[in-house]
Amino acid sequence: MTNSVSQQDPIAAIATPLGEGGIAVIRVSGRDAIDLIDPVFTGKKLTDQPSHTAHFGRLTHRGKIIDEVVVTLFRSPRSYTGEDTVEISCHGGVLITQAVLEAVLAAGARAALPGEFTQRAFLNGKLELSQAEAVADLIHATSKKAVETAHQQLEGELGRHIREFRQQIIDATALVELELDFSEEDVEFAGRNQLLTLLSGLNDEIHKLLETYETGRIIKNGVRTVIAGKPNAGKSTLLNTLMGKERAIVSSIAGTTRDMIDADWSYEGLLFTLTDTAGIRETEDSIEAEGVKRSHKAIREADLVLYLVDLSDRHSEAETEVISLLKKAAGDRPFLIVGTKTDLRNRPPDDPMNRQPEDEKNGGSGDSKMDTVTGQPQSVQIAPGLYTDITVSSTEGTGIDTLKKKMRDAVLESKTIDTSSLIVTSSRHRDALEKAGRHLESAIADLSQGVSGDLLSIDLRGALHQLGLITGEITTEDLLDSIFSRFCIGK
Amino acid sequence: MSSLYSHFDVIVIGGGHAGSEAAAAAAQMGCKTLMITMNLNAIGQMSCNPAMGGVAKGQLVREIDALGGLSGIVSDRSGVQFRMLNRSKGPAMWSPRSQNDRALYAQIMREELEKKENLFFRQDNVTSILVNDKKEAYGIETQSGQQILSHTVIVTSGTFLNGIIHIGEKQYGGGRSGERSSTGITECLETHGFTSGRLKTGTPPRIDGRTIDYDKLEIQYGDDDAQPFSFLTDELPPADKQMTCWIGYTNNDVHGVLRTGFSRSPMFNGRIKSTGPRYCPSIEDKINRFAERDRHQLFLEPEGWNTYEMYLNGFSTSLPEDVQFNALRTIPGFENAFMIRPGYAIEYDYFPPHQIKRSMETKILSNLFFAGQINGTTGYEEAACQGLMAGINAARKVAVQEALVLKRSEAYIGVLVDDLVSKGTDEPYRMFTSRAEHRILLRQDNADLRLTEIGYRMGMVTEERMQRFTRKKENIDKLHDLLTDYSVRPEVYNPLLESKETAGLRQTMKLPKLITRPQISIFEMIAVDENLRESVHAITTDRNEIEQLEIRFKYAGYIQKEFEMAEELNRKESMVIPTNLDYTRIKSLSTEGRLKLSKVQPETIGQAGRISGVSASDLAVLMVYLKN
Repeated sequence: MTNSVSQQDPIAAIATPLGEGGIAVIRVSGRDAIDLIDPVFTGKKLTDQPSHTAHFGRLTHRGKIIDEVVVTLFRSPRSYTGEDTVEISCHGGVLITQAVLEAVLAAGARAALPGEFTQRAFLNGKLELSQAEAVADLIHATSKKAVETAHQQLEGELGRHIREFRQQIIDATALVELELDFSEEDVEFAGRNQLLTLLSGLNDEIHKLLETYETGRIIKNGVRTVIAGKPNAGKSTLLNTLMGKERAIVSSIAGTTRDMIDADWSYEGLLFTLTDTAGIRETEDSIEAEGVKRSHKAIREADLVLYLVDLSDRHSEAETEVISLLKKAAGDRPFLIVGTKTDLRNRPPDDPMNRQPEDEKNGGSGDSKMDTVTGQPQSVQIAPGLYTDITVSSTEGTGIDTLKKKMRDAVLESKTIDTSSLIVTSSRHRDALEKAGRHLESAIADLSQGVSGDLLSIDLRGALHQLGLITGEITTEDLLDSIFSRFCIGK
Repeated sequence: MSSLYSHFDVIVIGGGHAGSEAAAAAAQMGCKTLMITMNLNAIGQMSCNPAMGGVAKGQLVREIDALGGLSGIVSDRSGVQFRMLNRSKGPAMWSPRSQNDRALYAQIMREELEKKENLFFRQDNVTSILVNDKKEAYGIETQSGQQILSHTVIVTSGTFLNGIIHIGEKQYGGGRSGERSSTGITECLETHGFTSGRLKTGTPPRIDGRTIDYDKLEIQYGDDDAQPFSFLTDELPPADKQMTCWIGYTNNDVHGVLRTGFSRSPMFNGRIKSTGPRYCPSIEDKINRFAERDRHQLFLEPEGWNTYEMYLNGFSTSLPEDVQFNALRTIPGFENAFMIRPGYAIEYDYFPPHQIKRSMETKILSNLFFAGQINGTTGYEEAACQGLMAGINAARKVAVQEALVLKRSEAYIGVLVDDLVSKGTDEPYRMFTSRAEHRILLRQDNADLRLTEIGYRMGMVTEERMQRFTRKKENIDKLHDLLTDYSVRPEVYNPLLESKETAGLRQTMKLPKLITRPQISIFEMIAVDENLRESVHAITTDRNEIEQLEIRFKYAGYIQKEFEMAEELNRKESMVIPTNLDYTRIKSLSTEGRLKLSKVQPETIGQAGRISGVSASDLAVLMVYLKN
């Protein structure tokens, strides 16, 4: 057993999310990984220690102590990768973790490529391909729901589903093939209408599954949320408030655009990736075109848009125009208008914002619609016909919980998904399903035009091939088995 | 021990469909060839039904012909009825089939073989293959004690190896009704490490045609514009100069009589253990497995021009003769039928085909080739094409040339050989069009365009055939140029289009576009458009050549789609796996995958992917492993 595992050059990487938690783990795997760590570890002689033992000591780099660590040894093949593996647990914290990694790299390991540990585990027979894919997702899963989908795929629920589709197409194809190869036999062939119904039904199912991909992507990669508004609308403050205590898990890095900030934050199992746009600058009633353009672009790539309106500031007609422009750009995406700085609402008495929506509807004065929890008005009129969806005060923290809930609901409602159902998360699966769907559509079109079975079967086989890419190869034996088990062939 | 006989390049054991093609091919390619068979009077014998071709099989015969083999020519010349099956379907499904005069087929085959100047014949029973210590075959030993030496040996033993014939409770050794079986070769090969298995097939009773009441049967005529198998045959007789076939049906009474014999049937009492083909089951198998059906179709085929013997296709059985007889007489139309010979089942040895390479040479012994039923196939056409490939590759081996392996996207023959080698078979293997993933490319009409040049390079194709082919190809190219740019005008075509209930033209259109409409054919267009007719006929009046363009244009979209898929497949086909790869060293293969890969030792990734039990993840592992 031991000899059949191939050990490759030692690789190392930080195995825990950067900056998260009190402890970080650096994993080293490969040929002579233990010998490699031994010289930089002060403590027991690691090379003399058995597998699956943990040892306390100090990790050094060029003679200097970096951190107190616990080193755990896994000898081949009894490790995740099947190779000799050392896991170094050090104190969490970006600087220390990086320093430990650098020490290990200096000792002779190479920085692991993304997914390289999993790839080795797979090559050494520790994982199947579909498992490996799910594990990769598991590693990237940063929120609860994503962990669930990753588990689901490990257990092959998607596989089972696709196999069912595939079997139905095999049966349909078998009917077509029967008519082709056994036309001289005394068998009854399938009616075209029956086939059409079968294929249309399948196509619908595949599309339903495909629709879950969007949801799947959101669950895996997070809800891309764009916060837009004028520069002083309170975007950064809201962002920080939303992060709240959870700020600690934020990996805040500069966005792709100069002025954009990305940050991750999770709420009730749903991960949100917040993008703070640079704001739309306004000078003397004219809106900076560049800012609108930027927001436009961000919105087109978003899953959810929050547009912030400073309720303490005077509303301009130009902004109404901007809102309607951005709303148009958002299309089907949920678009929430958030009124901010409710604590600073001191407006001149003639400000139109003082009028509440109920006033207009009822033609008289009335209360604004109040949030039952916070006692905050939710729907405040900003301009004629334009109302906020919610109002918050970031500094006082009012309305924030309602906003979070609204954000989550808006996303989930817009996807009309049953969050407990089966979800496609892999783009590889999505591609294969899409292609299978296209083949089915083309077969359906041919079928309604009375095209001969040999031509029809090109697309049916194409669909089978694509589904086979998810579950395993398709063989013509499947078709023949299906034919022979159901029909009496042979004159 | 010195041989009485000179040294041969190729010895072919057997003279059936595989043996005949193998011997003819080797001789055609210049090899001094010996065909050795137990009964020289049975060369080219049709042991089962007197017919060639049919769906997928007709395509095989066309391919054999395009490569310079004999089956097509012999079928055309011995045919009593010709039909193109599946005419109503797409062109990939059109399949030529002939009913043949059984005796005439064998006679013409023998004549054609005797025309080959390098080909010699000997009647004897081969008992062992001579093998040297380098694991090379170098000749044969016969029952009469002679050793005959050769560079290569091709075994085409059909159903003869340890053949046992079953009729009810009776059983006796035999290779075919009225012929002895052959013993020795299986045992000899097993000592060299080969694995053998047993398969089963069967035939129906033969009936005296004068005792059948044809009024109770449906008649089936041949085609008037019959299409030959051979690209060298110019014309076939019209329908009224052909013989007819008949269709009848069993009923519940017949099934009842048959059931009375089940307890004495070797199929059900366990005497026959080997597997028969699922698609050609015996009548007892059919009523047993499909008990809900109250009738089964029977197809009555004439045995030839000068005999009243009839073949009752669909009534294959190994039930006791009295049960066969009584059941037969219960069939409407057969109340007074006289049975000339009873049906029987035959069991025989085969060698599971993972033991051969795609060249048909065995993996264990070099210079030894297998073709036909020994590889687990059934059917004349399947046997013949393997014989052809084995003959070509034995000759290539003698000339120290690389083996000819046809691709799956190139020929049904390529599909068949690859299926056998990659997937093996545990029931008699028959070709179906559904086995070919590129069916629309592998049509009977373009077999010559796919294969004639290959045959020519091999030295199989005569100058005469090559000249005809070159002329045809030139005409097709010219037609292609003409039609691609040809504009069809509304005033000429609209009456035709309206009569076909398809929308008329508002302006001129290029011909290739109009022809994609399923309602109209190029011949109808030629009929209404004088200008087109003159231009086309200035190039050719050959129906097949014109039809070639129609297919190309009409199905262009589908052909393109399959072509692209074939390209993808060929990429995998070009990823070569080193020989004798040690699969036990690749840990993450599934147990089954590793076992199958070790057994088959595929030559390419593409082939590996077709092995049953080798999963997509096994394939991914293999590719990753080979890349490292």
